[in-house]
Order: sequence, then structure tokens, then C-alpha cells
Amino acid sequence: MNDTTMERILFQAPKPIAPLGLLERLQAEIALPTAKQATKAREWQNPLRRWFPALAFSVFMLSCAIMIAVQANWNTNLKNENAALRATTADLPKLREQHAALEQAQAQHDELVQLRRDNEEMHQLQAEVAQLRSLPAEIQRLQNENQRLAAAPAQNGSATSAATFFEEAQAQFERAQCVNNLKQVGLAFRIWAGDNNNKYPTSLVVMSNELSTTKILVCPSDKARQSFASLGFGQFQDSMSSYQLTVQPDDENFPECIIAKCPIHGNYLLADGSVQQTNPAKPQYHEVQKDGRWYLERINP
Amino acid sequence: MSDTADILCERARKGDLFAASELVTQFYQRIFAYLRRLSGNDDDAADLTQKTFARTWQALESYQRRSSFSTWLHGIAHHVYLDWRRKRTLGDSQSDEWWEAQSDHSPTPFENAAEREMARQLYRWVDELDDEKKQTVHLHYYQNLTLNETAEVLGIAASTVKYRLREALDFLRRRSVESESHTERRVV
Repeated sequence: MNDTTMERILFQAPKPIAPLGLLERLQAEIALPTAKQATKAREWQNPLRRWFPALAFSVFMLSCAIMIAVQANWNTNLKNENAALRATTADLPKLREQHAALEQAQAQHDELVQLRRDNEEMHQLQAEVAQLRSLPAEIQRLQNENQRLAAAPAQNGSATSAATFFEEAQAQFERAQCVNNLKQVGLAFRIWAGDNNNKYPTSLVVMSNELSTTKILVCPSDKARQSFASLGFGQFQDSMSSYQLTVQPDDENFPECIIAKCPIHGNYLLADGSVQQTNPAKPQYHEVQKDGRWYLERINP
Repeated sequence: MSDTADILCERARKGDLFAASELVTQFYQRIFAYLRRLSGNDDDAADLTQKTFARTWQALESYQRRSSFSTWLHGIAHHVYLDWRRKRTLGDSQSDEWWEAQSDHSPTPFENAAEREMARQLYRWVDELDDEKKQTVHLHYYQNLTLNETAEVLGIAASTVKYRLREALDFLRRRSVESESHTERRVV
């Protein structure tokens, strides 16, 4: 028996016949999965579940749109801020000018405060002067008393010492008067400079409006020039003053330099308005010239 | 037929009882015959056929159409039979009388008594094959499944099916030669 024959016989094998009733039983037992289908249908009936993909996509797109809107809003705000900053920057030169003017006003205010302080000091000195003015009368009274006492032979020795005391008092008074004069001259310098671009005048007569009288231009100890003290500014000249001027226009920038001095008392008016007293009998300072300006320098012992 | 079966299957999946009934009508004879040859008696074959279709309806939702409905149904029947075999220690198969009865009473294409006798012996020798080869022969020859369909039902490669069939034919040839030589000795 060859393979072909065997295969033919095997392919033609008898087919058993199913028993009667089996088909009916099988058909009766058909149980299709309708329950699952019903469940599935119920699931689809839920609209949220059915539309979930579309809803999720819509929510995502809405979120994107909101984010874009927020970013656009930020962008607009930033642009507005940028424009405002540019506008502010455009006014910058003007603001700088205002700032410079403010600083200048502040400087003027400081200067005014300084002048007020000087004025107060001047009033104080004037009060002192008034007090000292009453001193000659007292001296006169004391001299009379002295003469009366001198008439007595037993009291000759003490009269000499009393005369010396009065002379010293007179000299002290005149010295104080000289300092006061220089103070007022210094104040006049500063007021004049305030009105003339911070430049000092090189003449005393020029600032006559800032000086109250010509008396302050003559030292009380300068007996030779006392007659000039009664002149008005119309006749007064710089050479009539007891005080020697060494001032230069821009001396305000060099507060320690000498702008005027009294050769009798050794009182120096400095550029900052202060008066430095020295004792000509026992000099502790001497004048030094630096860069064309005069300064006081302490003498080393 | 395959297309028709697939259409009926699709309708059955949607709950069409008539389509399911039509599927049963089309396939129950083939499935019964397959299980009858393997199980050895009508009652067990009928039970196994019922189980096969019951599982078919349960698994209808998971049918992916990777194979034809016929192949898929044979696969279920094959697994139903294996489960039944595991529960039973029975190793016997149908007797010679059954095959003789089938040959005598069923309409067969064999013309003469010698050819019928040859077929009867051949079917008996098939039942002497080991399980793997026997089931391969049943599915390919008796059930008329193609090599690929047989491979899909058994879950093996088509080349393995070819190998098993060649081995089975070799065995049948040897038995045939032995039988012929035995007959000649008896005649002498």
C-alpha cells in the first residue's frame, strides 16, 4: 500500500452520524452573551462617558486658550510699563536740571543758615561793644577819682599803677572793637559774594551797600585815620581804611586764606569770615604766601 | 462556507439567535464526528459536542477572526477533548467492531470488500499511533483541515504537522508491509 492510497483512504474515512435530538439540544442551549451587550449599551447611554474624549480635548483646548489670554495680558501690561518707563526717561534731562536747581537751593539755604549764625554773633559783638562803650565814661570817672586821689601827697605811688590799668583796659577795648570791625567786614564780603556769583570784591568801597558805616573800616587804635571814620562812603576811599586788603575774587574757595588784616593789632580776617587774633608782642603765627595767597601758619617753638 | 460562517458568527455576536442556530446546524456534524472518533462512544461524543458549543458561545466575544470560524471551533473542540482526557484515565479507543460497523453500514466510496478491509485495517492502525500523531491525522485527514488549519488547532507550527504526518504514514506503511508478509506466510 503506497502513500497515495493510504492518504486517499484516510481522506475518505467514514463520518459518524450524530444521534437524533443532538441538534435540538444544541440549539436549545445556545446562550449568546446578550447580558454583556446590554451592559455595554448601558455604558454608552451615559453621555459623560461617551463624550469624555471630546470633553477632555475641549478642556485642554480651553486651558490653552486661557493660558494664551493670560500671557497676552501680561505682554500688554509689560508693554505699557515699558512705554511709561520710556516716557520717564525722556524727562530725565529736565529732572536732572531740577535736581541741580534743588541742590543749588539747598546750598543757598545752608549759606543762609551760616549767615544767620554770623548775624547772631555780630549782634552779640555789638552788645559787647555797647558794653565797652560805656567803659570810657567809667574810665573818665575813675581818672577823676584818680586825680582827686593824686592830690593827696601820701598816695602818689598808687596813682601811677592805676593809670597803667586804665591804659590797658582802653587797649583791650580797642582791640575788641577792631575784631568786631573785621567781623562785620567779613560778613559784608560774604553777602556781596552771594549776590555776585560767589566772587569777593577787591575793594571795600565797592561793597558799601553791605557795610553799615565807614567807622567799621577804621581801627579804633589807628589815631591817624580817626578823622576818616566820620566820612560817608561818597568820600571814603580804600586807602583811608586801617585794614589792608589781600583779597582775591575766588578766595571763597580757600576758606583759610587771609583777605584783610589789621597791622596794629595783628587781627586777620580769613576768607570763611572768621577773625584770627595774634599778639604782635609775642607772635605765635606768621604770614605765609602759597600760590599767591596769604595764610597764617603756626610758628614752631 | 467560511465567509458565510463568519457572517453568521458576526450576527451571533450581536445576539442573533437564528444565526447561532444556523452555525450549530452547519458544524455540529463535523464536530460530533471528530469527537466521536476520538472518544469512542456516542454518549461522550454528544456531551463533548455540547460542551464545545457552550464554550463557543461563552468565548464568542473574544473571537478575533485571526483564523476561520471552523478552525476556531475545532480548536475549542480539541481543548474540550484534552480536558476530558485528563479527567479520564481511559486510554482505549473505538474497537474494530465500530470501524467494521461504520464500514459495513455507512455509505463508503470503497468498491470492493478487499478495499474495505484495507481501509478498516488502516483506521485501526491509526488508532495505534501516539496521541500527537493520531490527533494530527484526525484533524488533517478525517476532518479535512489544511496543514495550516491543523497547525492552528493544535497550536504548533505547520512544519511540525508535516513531520508528524510523515511519521504517521511511515508507521502505517510499516504495519501494512508487516501485515502483507504475515498473510503470505499463512497462505504458504
